[in-house]
Amino acid sequence: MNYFLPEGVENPFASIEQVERWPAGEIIFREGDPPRGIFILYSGTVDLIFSARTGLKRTLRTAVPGEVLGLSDAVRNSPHDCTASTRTGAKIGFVPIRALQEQLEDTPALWLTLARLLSADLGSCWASMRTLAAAR
Amino acid sequence: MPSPYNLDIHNTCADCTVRTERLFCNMSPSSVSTMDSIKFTGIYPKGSLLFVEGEQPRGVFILCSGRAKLTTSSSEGKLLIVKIAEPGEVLGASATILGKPYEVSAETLEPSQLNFIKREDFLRFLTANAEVCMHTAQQLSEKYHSAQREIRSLGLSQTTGEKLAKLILDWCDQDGDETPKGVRLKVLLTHEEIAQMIGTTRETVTRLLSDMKRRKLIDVKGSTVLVLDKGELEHMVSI
Repeated sequence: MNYFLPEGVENPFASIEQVERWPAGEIIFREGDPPRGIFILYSGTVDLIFSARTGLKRTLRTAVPGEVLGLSDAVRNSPHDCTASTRTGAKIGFVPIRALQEQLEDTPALWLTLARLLSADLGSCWASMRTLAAAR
Repeated sequence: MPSPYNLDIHNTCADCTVRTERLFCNMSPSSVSTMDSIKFTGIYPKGSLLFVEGEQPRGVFILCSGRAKLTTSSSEGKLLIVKIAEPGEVLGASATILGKPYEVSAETLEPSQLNFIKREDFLRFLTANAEVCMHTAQQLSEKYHSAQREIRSLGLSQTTGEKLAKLILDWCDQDGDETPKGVRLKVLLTHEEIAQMIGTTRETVTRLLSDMKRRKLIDVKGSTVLVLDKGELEHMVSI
């Protein structure tokens, strides 16, 4: 169940997103790259991989359907803080950053949707932190 | 009559002298006026529990002054500090917006002024004010970014010493005062709380800090930490 699409609520990005199927093992965006837009994960799973200066790379989070990847980076206009790679085949909706910004100017109420999405993302982060702390 | 805890209390947001410096609070006069009509100002001593993990969301707390720790419990009951909240932050926003139980607990670390807004009033405020929504979303982005940084530290650090060195370096960047002898920090956290931030035990933190003092990387006098060799601490961090 997508948590940004409660029953009966229209997808606010429907008119501006490009939905595509991605095979497993594809890089959606790389750590350090500037944000090109946001990626709505409709199906499949995506690994979020973090890198150390030593070259060590680890998957520290996994995104599941309903999550919007790169949203925080797009809102902050800051480089991606991790690499996103499809673990399985996935159906992903891409919204270019310019289109997102224009949509927000035309429909400021969309900021509430973004606040909901970011709230859910934050909860996912905290859940990951609990798991990592328990593993130590 | 002196104010409680000698805090510089702002009873109205309109009169707040630092409002325009804060991401969430820097809003139009009409939004400020609305916020003044729906908030309840309170002064809280150190150690006040604002909300508890798992509790149904009653509303949000805007931290006007002071600091608070946000904690969560792992499945093994280990307490982890996910963030130290600074003035200007809106606590409990994600739970309030989603209508789900608070995912963290919030406790003041020092005497603090907080403005509480009931859930229904906050949601109505957001629905009617795109500007406030935008500021809320922007602040949530910052919190997400901060959480991702902590995930990186928890997941990639090879040793607990590295995590502690990274934490001290982060403090230097955020709050450090450069002096001729090194970077001066005011650290109000106990060793137990530092342990909760990096997922280890108090005994390990005490031992590591003693080791850093012995190696003259830091000097500690009460709550003041002087970072003498920032370069060596940076060398310890691989992430």
